[in-house]
Amino acid sequence: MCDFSKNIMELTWLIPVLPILAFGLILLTGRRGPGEGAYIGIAGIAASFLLSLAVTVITVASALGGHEFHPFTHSVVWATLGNIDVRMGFAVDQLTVMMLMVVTTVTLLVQVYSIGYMHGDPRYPRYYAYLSLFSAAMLSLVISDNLLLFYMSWELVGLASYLLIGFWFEKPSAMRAAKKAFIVTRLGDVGLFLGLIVLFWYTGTVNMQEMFAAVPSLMGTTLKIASVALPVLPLAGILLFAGAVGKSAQFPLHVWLPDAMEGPTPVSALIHAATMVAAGVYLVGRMYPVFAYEPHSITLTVVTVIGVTTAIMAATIATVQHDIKRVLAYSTISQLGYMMFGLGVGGYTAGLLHLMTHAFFKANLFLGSGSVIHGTGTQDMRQMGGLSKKMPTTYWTFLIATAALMGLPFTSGFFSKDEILLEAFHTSLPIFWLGLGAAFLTAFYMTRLVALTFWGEARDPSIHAHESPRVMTIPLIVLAVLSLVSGYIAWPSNNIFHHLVHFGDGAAVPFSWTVMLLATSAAFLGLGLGLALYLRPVISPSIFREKLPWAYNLLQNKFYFDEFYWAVLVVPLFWITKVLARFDARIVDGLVNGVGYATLGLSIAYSWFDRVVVDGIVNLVGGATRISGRVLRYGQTGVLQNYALVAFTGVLVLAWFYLFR
Amino acid sequence: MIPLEWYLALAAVLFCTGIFGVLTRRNAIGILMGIELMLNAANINLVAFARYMHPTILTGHIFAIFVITIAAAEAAVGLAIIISIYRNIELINVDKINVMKW
Amino acid sequence: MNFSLFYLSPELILALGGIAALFVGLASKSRKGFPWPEVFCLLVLAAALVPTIAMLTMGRVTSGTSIFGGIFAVDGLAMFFKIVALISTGIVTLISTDFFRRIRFHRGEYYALLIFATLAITTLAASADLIMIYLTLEFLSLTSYILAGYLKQDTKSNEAAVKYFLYGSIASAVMIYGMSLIYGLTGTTNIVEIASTFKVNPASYSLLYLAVVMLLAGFGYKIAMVPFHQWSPDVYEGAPTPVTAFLSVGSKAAGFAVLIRVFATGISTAILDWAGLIMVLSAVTMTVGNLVAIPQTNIKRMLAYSSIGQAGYLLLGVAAMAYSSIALPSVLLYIFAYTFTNLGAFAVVSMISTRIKSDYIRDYAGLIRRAPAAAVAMVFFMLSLAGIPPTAGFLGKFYIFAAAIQSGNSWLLALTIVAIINTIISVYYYMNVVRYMFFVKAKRIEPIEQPGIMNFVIGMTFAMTIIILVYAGPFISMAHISSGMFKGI
Repeated sequence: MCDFSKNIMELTWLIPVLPILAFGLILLTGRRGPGEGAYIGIAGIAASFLLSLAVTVITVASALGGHEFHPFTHSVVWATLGNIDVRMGFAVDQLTVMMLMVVTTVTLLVQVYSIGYMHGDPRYPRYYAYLSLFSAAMLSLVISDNLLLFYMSWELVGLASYLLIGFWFEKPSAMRAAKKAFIVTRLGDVGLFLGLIVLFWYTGTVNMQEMFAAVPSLMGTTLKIASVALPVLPLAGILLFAGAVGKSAQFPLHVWLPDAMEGPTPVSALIHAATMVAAGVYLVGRMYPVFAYEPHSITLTVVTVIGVTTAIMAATIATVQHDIKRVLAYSTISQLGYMMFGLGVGGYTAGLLHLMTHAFFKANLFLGSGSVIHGTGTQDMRQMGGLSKKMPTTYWTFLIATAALMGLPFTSGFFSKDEILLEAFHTSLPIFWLGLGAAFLTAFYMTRLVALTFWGEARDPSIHAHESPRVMTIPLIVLAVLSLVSGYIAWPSNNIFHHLVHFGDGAAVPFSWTVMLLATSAAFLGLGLGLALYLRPVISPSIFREKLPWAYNLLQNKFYFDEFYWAVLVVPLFWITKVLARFDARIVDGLVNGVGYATLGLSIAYSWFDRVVVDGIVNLVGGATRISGRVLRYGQTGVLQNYALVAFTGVLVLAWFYLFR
Repeated sequence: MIPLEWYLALAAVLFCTGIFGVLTRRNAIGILMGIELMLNAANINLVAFARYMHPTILTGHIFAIFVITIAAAEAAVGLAIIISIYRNIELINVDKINVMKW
Repeated sequence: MNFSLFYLSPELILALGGIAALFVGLASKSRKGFPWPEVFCLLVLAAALVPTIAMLTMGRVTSGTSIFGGIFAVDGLAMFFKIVALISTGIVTLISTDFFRRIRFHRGEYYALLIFATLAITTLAASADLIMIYLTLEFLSLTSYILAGYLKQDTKSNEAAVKYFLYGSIASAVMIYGMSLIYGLTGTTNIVEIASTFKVNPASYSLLYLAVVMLLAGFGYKIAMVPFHQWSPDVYEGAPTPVTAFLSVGSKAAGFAVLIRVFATGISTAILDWAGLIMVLSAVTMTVGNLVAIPQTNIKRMLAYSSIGQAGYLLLGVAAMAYSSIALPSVLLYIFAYTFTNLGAFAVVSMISTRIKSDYIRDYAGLIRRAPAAAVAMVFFMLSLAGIPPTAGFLGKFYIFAAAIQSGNSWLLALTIVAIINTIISVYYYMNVVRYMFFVKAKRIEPIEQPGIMNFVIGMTFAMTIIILVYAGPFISMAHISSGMFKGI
């Protein structure tokens, strides 16, 4: 690496810093800023994009250059824990640059697109501020060389997502969705945090490369909690994966993503389709040595099972949704499941390739749906139809992305999906067949979506659709091109992508015509069924609803996950807090009464005792009755003596707790 | 000579009496008197321990004198606070002083 | 050079300064002119801060020594808590200048009382003798009672003072009874001698245990530990907001100072296994604090329960002291981070509530439009309290949990899991504030006036909340230096 390249690489830290500067600048200038803040945000991310491009070119060139490649790292001491130095810094390798390119490209396009989509919004500058905050956090997550910085960025990304989902807070549903997303993903984050602490404790470092180096020595090490011995590596891996499950909306924490569609559509495209939700997959890819400490480890099995469950479950739900964005949301969940089980069956390259291609075509689909919503003013597909003539650019780009998502031949999705299925084929046949089923369902619901939205006749005469402005269609065209071509870097006979991004020295799995033909026919079968049902209704689409109403309801209600969580988790928690808040009102006053009657008994025996006591009892009994009356009427409390009683009881309980244990 | 245990028992009884007063009096000054009883129970303990177990060192006595001093300061501050609330609501019954709750 | 006078210099400065502050107050009656009492108070605090920081860097001091025959410790731990007390009182002074601007009150006495309360904390942090501990604890309590009731016309403030006074007196009466038992068992009140006596002559286990529980009533009430916490929501709600800020930081830190010193030097785990007791209290404290915070509608009350929860996390670190060498530094670091975060949150609350005349969270709706800078800072204070990066609170929690896990004790591991579950619960009510500020439409939209002094306080605490995480090295080494403790000659 020449000196000039080195100097460029040293500047990698600027990639997340530029957007955060934009964030600060937009906050300071507000509406007075250029383009009401939009140009500042775009300038920030465009600079990051150019820098990422330079870093990518240098990295790819040196990786393909034939010499042994070392990730470029740079770090400084941040803190000292005991006698361990914790270092913070960045590391650039092939996986990093892939992610950098995906994130900066999509972010840039989404920010440009948003000029049109968010035009006239009362909180326009704030929107760009949040977007810049998000990109800064996401980019620092990508370049982080240690798990601690990774975790911090991970949380900050979650905060930005929270702010953006709730951006249109006038809608109560948006506020609910924001809160739900934050808390549900937080459940997974705790796993990530615990995993981080476990790994830190056993390896003595937070640096990822050093952790990987220590992995072989941890084989067979166990962590004893009480009398249960847990093997450390699977424990850490599964804890880390819990974080990925939350962020990437995998079963059973997937419930937040469909609701997150309450945010503005460009946000859904950026955060909830292309980048943030893919961070979970990136985490598994980044920490792959911990997951794949041995082939077919327990951890990878967990990843596979969760991934394939998610892929199938979400795809089935997507077939019956009416909201265009919700269909896409379930499709995203399903595709993320695809990536997960791709990684799980050992397809490191395949899973990450799908991450990249999916980012492009799914962002394209979301932005296209945003264009449709912008043009029609509704999200309900039952009110659309016949838009292909009115919105030609949106239609054609959408069609290309749809083909890529279905995995039709010679689109990008074709390459990545085939690779995942190929890996599954060589590892586990049941997983392969389930994956094939998900591919079939994907083709089916996407055909349904396109047919309902763009084909046929307009169903709602009151909607006058129009094509979106150029600032929105150009990003669509760019993304459509990327959706078409980005797969070719993984052409089976000359797989550059595999050469760049692979795990260990694993050679590519041999290409198989069987798998390719099966995958392609699954896609065409789904397409055919979709056409049969929705284009020229040979069969009535409602046949499913009529023949199997219970199954339809089950899907329509998304397998009742939300209702289940509400009943099992949320309601009891609220109940407990209510009980505790009313603790004084009910239990303490009960105690007061109890003490009152007990002392009344005592007072008869010791009635000669001085007036203080006698008065006290009289007062107490009277007071106690009044208090209980008041409890029945108001649930009254705030009385100091109740507090004192609790304190004395506390002393007694604590003393008793030891003395008679 | 009266054994140490008797003093300790007296102190314990006095302490419990104080607690009882604290829990049952509704008048803030009554509660304050209960607190004084609890402090005096501790004083009896301190002096008795000092007299019986370490008759040559005066620590216990000094501690007791400090406790008495603090009790006086506490009463001064307490009465001032009680007077200031009495001026506003003309009440010093603690079961009525419960605007803030939950 | 006679070191003992130098060792006592922060206390001497505060004592003389407190008395002088009364006269400065007398001399400047007018509320319009130059704010002499406020400036004088800040000067006194700064003057006391200088020798304290100087001592923290002296090797002989940080390794631990004592003056006055072992009753006044001069060590890293004491210096650390003195610094925390002086800084937090300084910030409270700044908040007070804004809070009391429209209220007629006796300024000189108020700032004199603040200085005396700080004096009480600095002395308490150095006390290594039960008599000194009792005296300074009572000194702190008495000044705090008066401060809590300082708004004499306000019935809520009156009520807070009465409840605080009665509850505090009861708790300290229980504590003094426990102290008398310990004196009876050992024949001494010096905690170092107590430790050595127990080593030679193990006491009756059950009686010692009872005495320790009674001591905990006194200390626990200062740190608002369940079941001695119930005064705190009422008092926090009723007291003037700057005083609430003082109680939630300075006073609580003082409680931890004495708790740490008595348990680390006085009663070793070999004599009495207090770690288990503290663990149980920690679990109960954080759970009750966090759960009851959820339904709160008054922000001061919510912060009261939140600070009960924070005490629970700190107790986890105290329990870990029995097993891990980095537990004490982690507790100190957490307290340092908590100091700035919580004072920042109270600064925002004080500034907003005096202007919108309400403490209800629902009245914070749309704060992002009305006072954007304060709202953004408040988000980070809430994140820090919840322990979410990129804030100081995250570093504190990370460090405490790391200490608990490093100990390898399985009960501590279990307690850490309880603590982590609690942090998830806490996100709910902390984010509720953020939700109101950002996502709820305000009934009124006119901007809220943000005076320069409050912008300074909020900006400074906000900057510290971020800096402690980003530039953690110096703060971590400070926490390590400060964990040096006087353990006998």
